[in-house]
Amino acid sequence: MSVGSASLMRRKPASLSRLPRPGISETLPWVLLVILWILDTSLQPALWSSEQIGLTLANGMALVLVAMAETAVIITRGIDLSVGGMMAISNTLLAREVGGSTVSVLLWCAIVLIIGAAGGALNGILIGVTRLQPFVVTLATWSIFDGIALWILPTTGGSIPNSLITLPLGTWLGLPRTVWFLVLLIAIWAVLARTRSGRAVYALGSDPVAARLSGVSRRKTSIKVYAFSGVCAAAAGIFIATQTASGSPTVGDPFILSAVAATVIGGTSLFGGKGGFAGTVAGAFVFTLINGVTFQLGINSYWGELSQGLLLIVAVALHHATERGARARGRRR
Amino acid sequence: MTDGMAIAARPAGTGRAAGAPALEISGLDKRYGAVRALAGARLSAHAGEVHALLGENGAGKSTLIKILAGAERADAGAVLLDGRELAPRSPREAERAGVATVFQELSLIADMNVAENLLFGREPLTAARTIRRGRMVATARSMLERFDVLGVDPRVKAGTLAVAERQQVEIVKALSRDPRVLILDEATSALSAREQRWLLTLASQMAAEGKVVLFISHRLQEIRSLAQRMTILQGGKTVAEARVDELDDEAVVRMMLGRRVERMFPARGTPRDEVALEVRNLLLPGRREPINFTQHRGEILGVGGLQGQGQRDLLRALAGVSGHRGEVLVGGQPRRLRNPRAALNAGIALVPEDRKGEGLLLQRSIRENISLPVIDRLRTSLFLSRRAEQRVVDEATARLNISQGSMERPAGTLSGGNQQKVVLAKLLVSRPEILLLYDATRGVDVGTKAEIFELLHELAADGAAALFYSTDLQELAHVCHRVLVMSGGAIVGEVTGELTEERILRVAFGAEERKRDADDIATASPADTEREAQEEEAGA
Amino acid sequence: MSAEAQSSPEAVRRSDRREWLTRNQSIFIAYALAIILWGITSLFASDFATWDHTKSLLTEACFVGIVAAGQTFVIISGGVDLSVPWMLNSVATLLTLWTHGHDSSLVWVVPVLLAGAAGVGLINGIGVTVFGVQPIIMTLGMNGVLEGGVLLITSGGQSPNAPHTIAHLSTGTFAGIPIAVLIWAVLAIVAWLALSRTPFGRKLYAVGTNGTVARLSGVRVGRVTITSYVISALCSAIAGILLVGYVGQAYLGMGDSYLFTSVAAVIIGGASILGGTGNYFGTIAGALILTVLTSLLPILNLNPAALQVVYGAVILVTVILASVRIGGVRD
Repeated sequence: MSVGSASLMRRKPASLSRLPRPGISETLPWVLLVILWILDTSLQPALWSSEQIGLTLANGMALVLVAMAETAVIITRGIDLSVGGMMAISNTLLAREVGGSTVSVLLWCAIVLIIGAAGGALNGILIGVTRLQPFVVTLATWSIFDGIALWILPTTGGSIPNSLITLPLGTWLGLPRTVWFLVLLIAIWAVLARTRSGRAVYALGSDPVAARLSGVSRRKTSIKVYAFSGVCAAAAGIFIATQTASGSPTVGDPFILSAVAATVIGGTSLFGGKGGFAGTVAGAFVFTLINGVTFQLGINSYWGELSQGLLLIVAVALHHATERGARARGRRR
Repeated sequence: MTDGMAIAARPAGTGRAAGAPALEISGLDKRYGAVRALAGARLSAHAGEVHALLGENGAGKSTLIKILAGAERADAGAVLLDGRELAPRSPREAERAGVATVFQELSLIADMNVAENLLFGREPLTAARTIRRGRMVATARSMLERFDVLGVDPRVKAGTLAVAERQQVEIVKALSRDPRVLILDEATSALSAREQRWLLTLASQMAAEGKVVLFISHRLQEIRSLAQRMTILQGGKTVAEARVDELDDEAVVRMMLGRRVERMFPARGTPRDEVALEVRNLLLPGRREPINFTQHRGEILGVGGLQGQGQRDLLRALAGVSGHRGEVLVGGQPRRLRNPRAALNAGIALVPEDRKGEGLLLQRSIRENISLPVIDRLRTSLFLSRRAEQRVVDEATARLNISQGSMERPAGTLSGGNQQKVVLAKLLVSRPEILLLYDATRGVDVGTKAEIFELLHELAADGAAALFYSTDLQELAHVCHRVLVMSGGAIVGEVTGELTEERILRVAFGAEERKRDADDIATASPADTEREAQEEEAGA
Repeated sequence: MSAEAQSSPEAVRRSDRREWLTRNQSIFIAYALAIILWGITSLFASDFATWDHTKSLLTEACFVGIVAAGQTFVIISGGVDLSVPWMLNSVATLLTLWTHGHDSSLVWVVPVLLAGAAGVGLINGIGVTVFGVQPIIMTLGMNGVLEGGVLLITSGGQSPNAPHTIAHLSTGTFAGIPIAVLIWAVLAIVAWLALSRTPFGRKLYAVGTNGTVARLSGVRVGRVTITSYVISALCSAIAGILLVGYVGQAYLGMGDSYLFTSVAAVIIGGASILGGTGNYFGTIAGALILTVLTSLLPILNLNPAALQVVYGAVILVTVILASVRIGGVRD
């Protein structure tokens, strides 16, 4: 083999044209959100008031929290079906135990979040240590958590003190409290995603084999990410308590699949490794606003159901049409 | 080439071989269920040495490397690094102990950029423990420069790099941890000659610094130019430890196989005059130049050229895997190759590049794998006929000499060479007229390679035609009747008559100015070409 | 290459048997569990082991069993069908709505409903294969669409009674065996044959194991996948028809519990959620286990909450047991 002539071949350097650019899947939820927002406000002019914004946010916040949980887990190529159950546990426990004093409120909120972390960690251990599939494990723990919630509070009831109910209401420094809360959530995610653990989460979802070879501990990362999911779910349970002023053992069930839907519409791929919270927030509010708009238009709420289903399918199909080509080109070995 | 290169590689340090070895492995055992991957393997490598590890697939090389790298734990045996025990329980631990490994399966994460990959796990942090992006990119850039890897922008996603670039980044990643031991597990397969020299320089530098470089490769010529000593594994045991110049190629192959191998390459038959495959104005996806060629029955047509020049696309288009525009005629009949089923029905069968991911259902039994392409034919009325299936499978396995033992075993439990045989068995059951082989001998041991070539020639003698793509120029030169050279998704030249590696390479570089019209390529029969070549030889 | 040594035919046969046992070990575990549970329940309830009670137990189980049959096909192909609840519910609702409780219209209503169900399954399959939408999302969305659609048509009103013929099918007996159970048995045989004795079954397993390999081996992956979703939709439809006969009326949410139980039955029966493994016998064991557990509740005087916990625990136990003993193939 004549080595000399080898130097004639110059390979093109990895050029700047290969830098990542936002695609359809990232912008779609925002476009939808803007459209829906405009629709909503045009039907109900009062919506431009900060009070209404605050309320709308409050309406969707529980879903945002559950979707935050799902986003993290989905990035690792997993899924967490148990968030509904954990949400129910935190909701029912709070409704049953919390007293009127601030101390009690703080204490029980803390307890509930810790339980969320523990339950999530259990998921993480089962998934990270053994080779069990997230779908199956969290299907099982969903049932278990639902059972625990049923045991805590067999029927809707309990009571939530006023101090907790009024927490998300009102303003702080001119903006509704819920806005600040959302900002806080976004900030938390931004920080976490930029830590080494956060990178490990993305790596694990993007390419589990390469991640392991690069030193990522599947066990530790799974535990962290599912514990995070549990905490978010528990927080969602607290939030929904402020909305409904009561506890219900089945409160979480409708949220699970909507959270997955919001995540996926928001641009996070079920294949893992990509995505983020911002898109999920958009996706969650798209869902919330669809309900709002159908209500405003006086349309049968069942149209809302239907359109949410259709939207989900269409959004993901679009997402795929653009994603698959890009991924196939990128992943060629 | 070899002498000059070899001498340049040997650093002054080899004289210190008399001292205690820096890396000493003894009595290493490892079982995977019933399979004994290592049975008392041993190896000693000295500081400042580049040490090669050879063996057939299934001989235990990868397992040994995985144990050193913390990806697996040994069942028994001792590994000493500088006299201290080395038994890492994870890749992280191995790294901390000073062992850096570049694996066959690259550890780069496609969705992350080069900088993130290079500094994964040791990214520069702010006080808030978040990653400092700018600093990370700058550090990555200086790393790449330090190891003389130019032309890779640390900001691009790793998935967009070419395979050779990725291998280089992998190597830089390993080297940047300043390891005591650098292990290259077949990490050089995609490197071109220029990149191999880059690696050679790095390896000698490391050796000069007193480090140990352990590397696995199937390419003997590469080993001879890079390494000083070698260890040969066979059946999980160490059968030879010697200086690279002490054993010639035949001796090495013999030790690897544990038996003599007469010839690697069987004699080539003569192609017939009938046309088996005709390709007209074929446009590969994303390419602009049409492809035209004709292939005769009994002919093994090589597809050469540098990597990534469209060879994969060509074979996949013919196999119905990806789309194409243009005409394909099989045995004179025009065929629409819309999907692999249509291709199989037309008599075209493909051996894909990734046998584990594309060739075999690892969890299903060998029998189910083999019968899958023709499963629709193996039935009586609505239901499957076990007997018909057994017959078909028996025929195929007999021809290929797949080891005795249960056909019910999952295909994933077989060794690489045997897995490839099962892939070929799958190919055979559909009785193809056109065989497409994409790098069919990659990662396959020497013994199985010989069997594959034998089979290929048998099938050609029976009248089939084969398109054979290989990254090994030696194979192309010795197995094929002629070679089409591709570049940029089109055929840029053809090598006929006496095939040598040099000629093929020259055409690939476009230096050979053998002027032939597209017509000539399409219509000349091999008999003509042979005559022409002989005339030219006689005249020269 | 020690594992590849030459073996005698006797050794090969022994190894074949061992292979078969390993491959089906989860199913054996499931049946063992079912028998143990049945035994425990019989200890606590004297009338449990009677033929009468077994008949009603089997009838209860057959609804899950039939829905889970369809789910089995989809899961083996590597997907999952979350549209099961409202597929069942919509067929049940429309059946009562369009027949107004009379038998006369049955002759056209049932075929139309089944065709419609097949159509929905077709759409699910097309969404997954042609448009590349993940099964979870596609079927989830379809569930919502069906829910919204059916609710719009009925405006959530009270459903008429189920026609007599259907009610008789679901509650009557033939030769002492409940007809519903006989129907289930027939379906079970068909499912078993389809999965293990036809080219389609072989292709289904191939697709679920590795779609790329299947495609390159000449399998029409799209068709196989779409067929599995059609089968699932039909199974849910059949279950819906039988269920509405059993209960007497259609009601909102009657299909909801079948999402969890159909998937659970398949998983407990030994299939992997990733696809490529499992068979209907295992699913049957899963359905039986779930049904026995439900009846264990009132017998042991347990809280309904406990049932939920036990369901989850059973899934975990079977999956952990299954993963513990499988060795050999490395992915």
